[in-house]
Amino acid sequence: MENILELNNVSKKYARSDFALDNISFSLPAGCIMGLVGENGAGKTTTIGCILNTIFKDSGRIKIFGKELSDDDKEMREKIGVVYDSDNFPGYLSAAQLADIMSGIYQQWDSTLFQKYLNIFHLIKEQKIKTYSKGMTMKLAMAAALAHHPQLLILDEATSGLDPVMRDEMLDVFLDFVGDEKHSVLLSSHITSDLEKVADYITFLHNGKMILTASKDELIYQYAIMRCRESQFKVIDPEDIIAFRRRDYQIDVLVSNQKEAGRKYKDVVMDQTSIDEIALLLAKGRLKWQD
Amino acid sequence: MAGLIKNNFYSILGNLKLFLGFFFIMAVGFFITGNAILFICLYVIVGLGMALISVSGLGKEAASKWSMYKLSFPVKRKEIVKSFYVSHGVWTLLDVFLTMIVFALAVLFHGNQYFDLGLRDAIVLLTASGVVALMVGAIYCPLFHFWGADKAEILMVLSLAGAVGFMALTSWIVNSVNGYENVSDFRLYMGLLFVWVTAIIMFLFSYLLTSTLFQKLQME
Repeated sequence: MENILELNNVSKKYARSDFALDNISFSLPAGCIMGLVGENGAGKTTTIGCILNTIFKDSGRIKIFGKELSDDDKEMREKIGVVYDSDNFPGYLSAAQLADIMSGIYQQWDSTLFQKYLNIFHLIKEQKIKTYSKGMTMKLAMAAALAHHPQLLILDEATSGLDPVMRDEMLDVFLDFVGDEKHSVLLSSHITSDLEKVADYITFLHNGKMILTASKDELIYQYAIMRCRESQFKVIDPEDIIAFRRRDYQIDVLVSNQKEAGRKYKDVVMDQTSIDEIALLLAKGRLKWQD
Repeated sequence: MAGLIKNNFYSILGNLKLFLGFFFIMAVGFFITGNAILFICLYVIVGLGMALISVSGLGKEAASKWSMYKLSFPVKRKEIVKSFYVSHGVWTLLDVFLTMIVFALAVLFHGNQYFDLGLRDAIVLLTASGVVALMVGAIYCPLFHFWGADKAEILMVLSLAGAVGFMALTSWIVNSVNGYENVSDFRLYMGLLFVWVTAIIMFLFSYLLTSTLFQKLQME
């Protein structure tokens, strides 16, 4: 499958901050949704900023549709739709004025499609954005991002702050968008339940580092958490451990191959895992390469 | 570019409506009374109003993530900068045009009592307001991108002070060359042309400076 987005060893340091994005690499195939997971400050927004060139990376390569994005590359930007977490548009605009602006910017701007989304989302075209609720502004941002027929949607915490019903509506839009196998979505979120519903791939970031990238099915059906006692933990081959976390009376160990681990460590309790649990273990536990 | 120009227009539309309403009330007051102080107020407001509103649009945009969103548009960064300068140039021309209309109507309604030296005075006043209006944008835009939106209000004050200072400096140069004496029409108009040309060169220089700054701008 052709990759729409590829990041190779992307790094970024800030002069006035300790935070650094450290060698981020992942790829997003066409027709897929990738979730970018991490706690606040993990580096999700910086990664997206580097992809969109709003932040300049120090090193590494980012390829979108097989090419590095430069300031001159208008054609490539036509194919990218962007939604930020909030306040995407100034409050003094109405949806109609926004459409007027966008039609003068995007060659592929489709007023009919924009109106269709406004109708679906029950948004009033003449209403000022400052009078919209948060959910309405996010829907408007989605409508604007989709109305110029992008091939890649990049969403930075686009579902945070929305109620479950609205989030579900948004997720349906994403699934619909990738339905034809030519479009892709990069969705950063700390709401892992959303990603469990729609994502094909998940990339975990923590403290500016990429700690794991894998398909969601692999994570849910092949990864597992072993609940070990200290004595059981001691005999586990370090190669099998992705991350572990000590609790009061047990140690949770994340492993990548449930069946093999089950065969090797027969007396250990093994649970199927969720994205949320994996994210927690990766963020709060110890990673094997930290030992 | 058309979309960016529209964006700049919408960013000031609310303030523009208020301004035009205020202008209309003042204009009615002046044309009824013919009061010279009202005339001066009207001149200052009309001469600089749209230019100040034009620069205020940048600060309004920065209240949202729109400035960052714009960087993902299929436009070059320098086009975003250029759109501001084009818009500001147009607003400055409108300022000059509106001032000309006010002057013409003032003379039409109340006779030539506001300009001691007739047309020469009127052209000097038009140049002063036009150049200050142009320079407000030329000073504000690079400072805004250098120091950021959180200093927008103070930058507007500094830009106005700087623009008035620029006008004072160029006037001083012209007067020094002319020897502070009564000068012929030709010398006066050459002096005003020098002021305009210098202001336009500074405006273009400001565009290049802001483009360079904006090229390096990073937004999170």
